[in-house]
Amino acid sequence: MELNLTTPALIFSTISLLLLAYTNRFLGLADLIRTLHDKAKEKGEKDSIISPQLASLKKRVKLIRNMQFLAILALFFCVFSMFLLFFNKSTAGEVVFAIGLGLLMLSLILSAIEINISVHALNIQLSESVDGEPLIDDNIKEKEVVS
Amino acid sequence: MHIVSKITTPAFLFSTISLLMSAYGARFTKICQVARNLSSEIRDTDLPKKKNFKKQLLIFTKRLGYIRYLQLFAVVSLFFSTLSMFFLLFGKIDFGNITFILAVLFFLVSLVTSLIEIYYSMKALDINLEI
Repeated sequence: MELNLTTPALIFSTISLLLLAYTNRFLGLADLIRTLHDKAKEKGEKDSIISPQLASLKKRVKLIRNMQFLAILALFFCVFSMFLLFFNKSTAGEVVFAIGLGLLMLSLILSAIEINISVHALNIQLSESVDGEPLIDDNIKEKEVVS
Repeated sequence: MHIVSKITTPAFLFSTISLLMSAYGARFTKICQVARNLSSEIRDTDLPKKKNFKKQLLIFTKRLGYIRYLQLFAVVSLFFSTLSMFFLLFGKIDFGNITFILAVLFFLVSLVTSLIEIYYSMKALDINLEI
């Protein structure tokens, strides 16, 4: 397959947009970790709800960092491929472009893993308020109806 | 059947899907925030409100589940279109076409999930206005 000088440029917009999405996720998570940590400190003890959430969130932050790293590396290889194609080294350009695509795919796999565990922390938080207290209140209400 | 042989064709999916991912990522974080706020408010409210909040929370978790699947499908679609480019680069037209079709299919599924999620997006607000 012949490779144009402009072909690697197709990936540019994708990776920049993906990085934007990743960064937003990262910032949101960092904020959440800070607030949760403050809350845990206020309570003075290791809360049974907060510490598993923190562990899950930390894992996700680490995954996002690796995703960003791989995406930037992919972008680097694409630009490098353009550079090589500019000097008519088409075989080297193709190989470098293929490496770039491979790195992008790795980043996407990590992203899929991250999305898969994304509701975990919230589930822990909600398991307390949805399953814990309101269920007891339902019983109270039934008693009220009976009486 | 139309056969994709140009390496640039799978790249048309790229910008759309990444923009969609970014939009849904923002949606996801917003809903998470609202759900967290509700779950901390739920402790110190009176009973009828509590029931109402609980209903809202259930809808939020449902929507979060949909967004999670939507994003998963979108990422898988992006993965397959990258893979398709990879195959086309090495002249494997057949594999390139199969993976491209898979990418388009996953994108379609992702869009259908998005429709469902948009349908639910008004419901929590309606319940909130019932108080």
